[in-house]
Amino acid sequence: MTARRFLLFFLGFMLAGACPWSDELREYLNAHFWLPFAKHAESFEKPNVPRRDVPYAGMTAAAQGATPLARLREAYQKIPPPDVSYQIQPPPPNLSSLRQAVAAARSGPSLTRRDKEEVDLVEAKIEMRVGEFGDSILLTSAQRKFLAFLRTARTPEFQSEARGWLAHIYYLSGEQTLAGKIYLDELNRAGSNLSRETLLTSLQITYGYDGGPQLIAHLDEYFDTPEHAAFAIELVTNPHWPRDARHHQPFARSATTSQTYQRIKHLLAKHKDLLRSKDGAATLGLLAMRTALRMGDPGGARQIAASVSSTAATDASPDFQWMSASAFFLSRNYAAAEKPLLALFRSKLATSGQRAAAAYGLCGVYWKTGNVSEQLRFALWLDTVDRQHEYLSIPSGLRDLSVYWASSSWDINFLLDAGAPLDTLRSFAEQNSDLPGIRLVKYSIAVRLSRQGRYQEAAALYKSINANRRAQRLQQLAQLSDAADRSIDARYRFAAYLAENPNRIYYNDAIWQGMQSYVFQAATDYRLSRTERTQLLAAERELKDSQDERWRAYLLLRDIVRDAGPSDLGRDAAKLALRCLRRINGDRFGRNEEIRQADIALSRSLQQ
Amino acid sequence: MLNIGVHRPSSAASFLILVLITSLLLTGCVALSSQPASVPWTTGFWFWEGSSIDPSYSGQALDIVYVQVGTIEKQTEWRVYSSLPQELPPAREYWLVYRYTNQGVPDSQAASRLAADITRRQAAARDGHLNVAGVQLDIDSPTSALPRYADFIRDVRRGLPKEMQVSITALLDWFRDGTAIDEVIAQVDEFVPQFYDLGRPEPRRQAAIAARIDAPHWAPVFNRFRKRFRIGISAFGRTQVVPNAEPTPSPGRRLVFYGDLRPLDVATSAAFELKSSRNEADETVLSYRATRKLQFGYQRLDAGDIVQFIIPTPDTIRSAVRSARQIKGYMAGVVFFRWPSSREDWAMQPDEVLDAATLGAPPAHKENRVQAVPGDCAAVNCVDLYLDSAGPLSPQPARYRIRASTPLEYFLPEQNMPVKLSGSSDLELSLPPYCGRGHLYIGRAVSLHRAEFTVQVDQ
Repeated sequence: MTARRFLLFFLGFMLAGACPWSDELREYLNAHFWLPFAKHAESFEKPNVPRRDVPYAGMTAAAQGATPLARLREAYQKIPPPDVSYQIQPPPPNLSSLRQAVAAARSGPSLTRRDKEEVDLVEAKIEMRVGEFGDSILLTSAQRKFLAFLRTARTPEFQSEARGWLAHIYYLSGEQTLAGKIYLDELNRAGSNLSRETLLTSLQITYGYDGGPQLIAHLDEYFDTPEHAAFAIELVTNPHWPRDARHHQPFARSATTSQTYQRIKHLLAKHKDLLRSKDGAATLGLLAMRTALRMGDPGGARQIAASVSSTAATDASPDFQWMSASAFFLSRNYAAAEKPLLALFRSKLATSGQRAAAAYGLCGVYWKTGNVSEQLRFALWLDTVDRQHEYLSIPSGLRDLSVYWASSSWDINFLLDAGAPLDTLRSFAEQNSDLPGIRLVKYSIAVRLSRQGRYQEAAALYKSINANRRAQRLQQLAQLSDAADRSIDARYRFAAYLAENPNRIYYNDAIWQGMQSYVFQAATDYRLSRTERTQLLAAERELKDSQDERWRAYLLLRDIVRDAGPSDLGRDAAKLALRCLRRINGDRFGRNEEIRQADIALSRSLQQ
Repeated sequence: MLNIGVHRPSSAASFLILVLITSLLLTGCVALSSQPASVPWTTGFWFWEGSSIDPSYSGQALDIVYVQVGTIEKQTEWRVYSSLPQELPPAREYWLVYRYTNQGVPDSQAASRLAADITRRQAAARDGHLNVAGVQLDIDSPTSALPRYADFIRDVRRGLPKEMQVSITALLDWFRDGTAIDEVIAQVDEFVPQFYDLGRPEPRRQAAIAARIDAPHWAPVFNRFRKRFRIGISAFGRTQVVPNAEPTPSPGRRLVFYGDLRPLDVATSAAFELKSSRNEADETVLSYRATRKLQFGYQRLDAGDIVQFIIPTPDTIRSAVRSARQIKGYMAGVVFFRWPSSREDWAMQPDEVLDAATLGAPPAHKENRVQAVPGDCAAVNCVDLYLDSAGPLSPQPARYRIRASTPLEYFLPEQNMPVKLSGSSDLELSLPPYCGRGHLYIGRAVSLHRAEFTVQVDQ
């Protein structure tokens, strides 16, 4: 038995370790929740850019050995790619035989201009391919050849291919800026022969999430075109925050962050004409807002938002709507944040992640403004909206918006179980009877009615939503409760029924999945005002007391022990009360000292 | 005759000069031809895995920082793992440190992989605008394996860019007579002998981390290589539980080390009695003896067991630096092991180390300071409070009053921190003796509006 228990414990432990759970709760109280949206390579892609799809130089299927050019293609296609996954590399290809193939192809008869360009491009690519095996001199030579090629070539697909390989060499040489600008330009260049997927992947590999220290160091060099500048600023201001803050570790502070943002601010001011030349002041305004919010200056962001000229495009921009709401919320003007958040939630331009952000932000607004019904609406939407098709990356989590989905469901759960008044829940259920997820609300109302001793009402509600086992249990409990008023024996039977049904009467088994204890955070949650903290502490205590069948059974039995005196019933009640006390889940329930004292008192009474 | 007449005095003078040079060499004063023209003195730190820059650091630029970036490991084959820390203290010069944690010397396969990795890291460091001067190998080669270590360094060196200098950390045992240390040092540009943790800590041995630097002894030993060297000095502390040895040590009980225990954690418990002392290297040793059997964290303590803290002091640093300066010759400075981690708020902080290392008069009157580090709250102002005490190792208990400029909503004290909210905006902090070291995390204060904090000592 012991071995079995140990095995179960061990398996549970391993499972818990292997599957870290989501722990979002009241995320809107974190300043980082309100940071500007993260931008990725695809954020900078213009819609509907026409592309070519022509085989790269040397990659056309050729009749084997028909011509020197065909033999060159054949030789080129046999070059293995360097395998970067392993430290032991395959041997580099034979450069001299490849060069002979190039020379032969170049001297071949009747080469068209296109053929000649192909030979030149393949020659540069051969040097690059061989250079990738660790020969930096060859890479430099290939780089020179690509540059020379681009000065003379006229075949559009070869030109874009050469630009792509040139960027690749820059990337290999650690020249992020040169590589990145080429990739970015090519992404939006009409007629490029580089695929969208290739370019997005290359940008992702070159810059990662935020460009890293190299982007910060070379920021000034991006102010040559409005597109480059906007790309660099948006990427470098991608949101970051220490995960530790969520786990009650001391706050971290980076000494260099504020310097970076002051520099961006300065660069934006210095190059304002460059950015104005693109889409008017709006682009500059959005970048400045983004920078101000990233710097932790919501007041500054509000001023910029007010000064940005109102156009249909700006007003409809999800970024502008989110940043406007952020600036209001962080300035503690909660009510004013509602309008831009609702606009974002309803926007057809918004992604599903951005809509989720708006919904979670609205939960915060309504919590702060005391509009529990609307808070419930958006928390429920977050919980019930179809998330199956969304990519929720873990552990990058917060970085790419997945926090906005509140995967833990702890916000809606606490609201249903304790946060929302029962009357509000009931009127919400009546007014929104067709809302997805409304059954969960009704189930929770039934649980709350049970805790108040309104067993008949609870049973009827359970029955109406086909929660039949609970309905039957509550029906039985209603009868026992009615009888309990009539005799002390009936009181005992009522208490015994509670004791026999832990987690099946007052506990809401539809929502917590065993995670409830983690939600009791009011004592350590530093994001609350004193009033909120006091109210949450009281709500948590009240929930713990009212949902624990064993505790409630104990309270009834304690009275029976007192009323029955030294009798068989009194002894039975004392024994059952002790069993209840000793089986209470102390981690979840608390009152440990009180339980210990009660245990001592009952044990003594049994010894007498 | 003339020749003889001229020659004799000259010959006598030459003889005298020869005697003088020989005697100077024998006493370690390797001046004249072997004396380097000028070796600038530098002060630096090792920035180790786990080291972090505390908000309280003044930000002064260091001469030199040795950054642990990589480890060499033997699995089925040799591997080198490395990464640059995201944040480093400002310095004029950085060295990339690679550590081999096992005893022994890696082989030539590891050397080529290490060289390739160093080159990559060098490029990354330069992208981050770090002035990388070289690479340092931290390999505790057995003394008998020094010839192989010399071969290994030669192999590594072959794969490095020419401008990359090579440094090694050095164990003092390597410098005894009859070893192959000459072969090793011939392969490097500098070496850094480490004057700490000379012997395995044992319950009956005097508690110490730092070793006293005997300059007259070491000066000729190190200078004879005619290579630049620096001295490694300890600036870290250690916590250990020493089992009760009376009347006889219990079988199976031995010295246990703790990474994250602070003096405050023990001092606030009534189950311990404190005895303090100074060791030979001027480190403070705090010995908290358990007066009864108790469970302490995961450790079960018997009555008489001692929780011991070995703590470096400004005197430790001053004394070591003073001795190091007497070595002269090719001596190029000192390196402190190590820059503390965020969990070591009771360790000696870098500014304190640097103050002591200047060998000037101790700061006339340091003031108590409280620092507020802002947190990540959207709807309230939340800050972490830290105390920088003017008397960090005071043998007397101290009471502080920390005052907020606006009323506090509430305060969440750090675990075991004897602090409480008094009134609406005052915090009362009572520190036991020796517990005010470093940047002491007090707890988290929450207010509706931005608050400024001041601190005064309560008499």
